[in-house]
Amino acid sequence: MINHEKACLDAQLGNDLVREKLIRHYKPYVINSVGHICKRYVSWSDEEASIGLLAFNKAIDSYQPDSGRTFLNYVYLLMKRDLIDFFRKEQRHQLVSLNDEADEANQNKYKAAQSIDEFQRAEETNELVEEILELGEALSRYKISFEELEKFSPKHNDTRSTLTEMAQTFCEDDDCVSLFLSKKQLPMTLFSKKTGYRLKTIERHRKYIVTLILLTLNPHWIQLRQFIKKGGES
Amino acid sequence: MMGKQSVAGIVVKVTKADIVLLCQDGTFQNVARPPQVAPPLIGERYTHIKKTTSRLKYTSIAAVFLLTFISYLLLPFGQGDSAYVVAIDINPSIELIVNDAMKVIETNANNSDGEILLAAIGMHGDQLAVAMEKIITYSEDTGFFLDEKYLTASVIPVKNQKNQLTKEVEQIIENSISKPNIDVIVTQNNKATYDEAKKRNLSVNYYAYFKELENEGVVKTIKEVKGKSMAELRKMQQVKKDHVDEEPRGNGPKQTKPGKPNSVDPDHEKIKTAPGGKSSEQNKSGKPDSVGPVHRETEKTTAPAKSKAQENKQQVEIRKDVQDKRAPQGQGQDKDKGQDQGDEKNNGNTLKNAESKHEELPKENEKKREKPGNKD
Repeated sequence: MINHEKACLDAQLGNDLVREKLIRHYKPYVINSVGHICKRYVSWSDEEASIGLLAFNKAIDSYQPDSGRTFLNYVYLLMKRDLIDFFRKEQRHQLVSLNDEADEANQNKYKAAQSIDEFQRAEETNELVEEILELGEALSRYKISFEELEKFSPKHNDTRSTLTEMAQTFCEDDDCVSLFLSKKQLPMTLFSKKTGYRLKTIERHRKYIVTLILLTLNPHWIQLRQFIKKGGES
Repeated sequence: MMGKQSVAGIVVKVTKADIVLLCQDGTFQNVARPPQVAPPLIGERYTHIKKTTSRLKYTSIAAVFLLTFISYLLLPFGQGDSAYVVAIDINPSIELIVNDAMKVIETNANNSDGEILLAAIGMHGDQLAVAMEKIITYSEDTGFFLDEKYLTASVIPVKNQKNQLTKEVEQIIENSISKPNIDVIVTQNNKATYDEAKKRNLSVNYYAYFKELENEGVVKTIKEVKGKSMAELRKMQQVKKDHVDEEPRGNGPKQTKPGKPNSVDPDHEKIKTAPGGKSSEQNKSGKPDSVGPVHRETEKTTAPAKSKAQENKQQVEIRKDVQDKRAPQGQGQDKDKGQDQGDEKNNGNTLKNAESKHEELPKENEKKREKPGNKD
C-alpha cells in the first residue's frame, strides 16, 4: 500500500517522481470525486477535471498527516472548495449565491455539510477506496480494466468455487507466481500441465483468474477480501 | 410481465455509461449509470434495480413480428390495402400503388429515370391527384419531357374492382394534369397484362403499346422494341400508319371508342384526352387519332373498297330513302333524312354530294386527322 504520508512529504521536498506516482495512483479517485461534486459524469477533457487535479496537487503540497484528517478526505475537501469557487466565478449562482446574508448562511451550511461529508467519508472506509485504487492499478499492469471483468466473471457458483480454488493453487506454485509477476502474464499452459486444470477453462476466465490471483497475492487488501469472502459464505 | 432484480455491490469504477460493481459473490457486474443523478463515489455501497421482462413477452413480440412479415409476403403487391396500381410512363417509368382512399402507399421505379424521380420527390401518403401534379411539375422542371410531352398512364385494379371505380381513378389522373401541351393517355389494364409485362421486365404501358404495335403489324417480336423509348415506338407506329394510309386498308387501326375493348386485352380501354382545350387531333407529331376520328376513319375507309356495283346500289337506296321522306330537311343535313319530293335537283345534288363525298373520302380523312372537331 502506498504510504501517502511519506510520499506527500517526499513530494513536498521536491521529489517529482514521487509526485507523479501519487498523481497517477489517485487519478481515478480525482475524476470520480469531481464527477460526484459536480453531480454529473466528468471526463478528463472537462475543465472541472483540471481544477480537481490542480486541487489534488495542492493537497500534496499542503497535507499534514497530523491534521486529523485522512489524506483522501483532505483531497476531497480541497477539490470541493476549488470547484465551488469555479462555479461562483463561471455562473454566479448555483451552490453559493451573491447575496451577503445568504452568503453567510450558505457558508454555514457549507461548513455543516463539510463536517457531514467528512463523517460520511470516514464511514465509507477510505481503506476500501485505497484498496480499490491499488487493485485497479495492479490490473492495469496486466492490461485489464474493471469494466472488462463482467465478461470473464463466472455465472455459476460451482464455476466460481473452481476458479477460487484454481487461484489458490496457482499462488502456492512459486514457479507460476514468479512468471506471473515478472512477465505480467498468466502462464496458462504451465499451470494447466502442472495442475491438470483444463486449458480451455483457464482461457475462458483468464482475466478473472488474474484478479483472484492478485487478491490472493495481496493479503493487505483486507476490506476487499472480507467483502468477497462474506459473499462467498452467504 | 415485468420482474425486478437488484444488483448490489461496491463501486470500483464509474464510466460514462456504466457503474462497475464488485458484488459480494466475487463477480463483477456493469450496471447502467443513471444520467440525472450524481455518479457514486468509489468504495460506496450501491444497489441497482434491474427491470426484467419475462420470456413470454419476448416470445409474443417475436411472434407478432413473424406474423406481420408472413402476411406482408403473402398479400398481393406486398400491401394488404393496395387497391390500384397506376403505371406512369413519361420518360421516367414509375408505378404508384394506391389504396381505396386514393392515397399513394408504395412507389416503384421501372427505369433509372424513374429512380431519379422517386428519389427526388416523396409521394408516400399523398393523394393520387397531388402525386400526379408533383410528377408533372418535376418532369417539366428537370426536362424529362423531351420534344414531345406525352404521359401514358395505366390503371390496374388489384382487387377486381368494378369498372366504374377504375374509371374514377382515370378521371382523377386526367383532372390532375392541368398543364396544357401535355398529351395524356389513360388506359385500363388487368392484372394479367401487368404480370406479363413484369415477366418481361417492362412497364405495363410499354408492354401494352408493344402489343398494339404487334397487332398493327408494326413490329413482330419484342426484340424489335427493346431499348426504345415510348417516343420512338410512337414514331414507328406513325411511320407505319403513314405508309398504310397510302394504300387501301384492310382492317385498319383498332377501334378505340370508349367502352370498346382492345383486342390485346379484353379489359383494355383506351381513352385519349388532351387537356388545355386542345383536341387530340391537333397534335403536331401526327400521332394517330383515337376514339371518334379513328372510328370514323375506319368506317369511311372501307367505302372505297366496295365495288362500283355496290356503290350504285347504295346510291339507289339513298335515292329511294330520299324520295320516301316527305319533310324537307335542307341540304347538308343527315343524308338519310328526307328532302322535298319535287326537288329532283336537290336530290340529284344530294346524290352528287353523296358521290363526291365518297370520292373525296381519302383526302377528307387526311384533313380530319389534322383539323379538330370535323364531324359528318
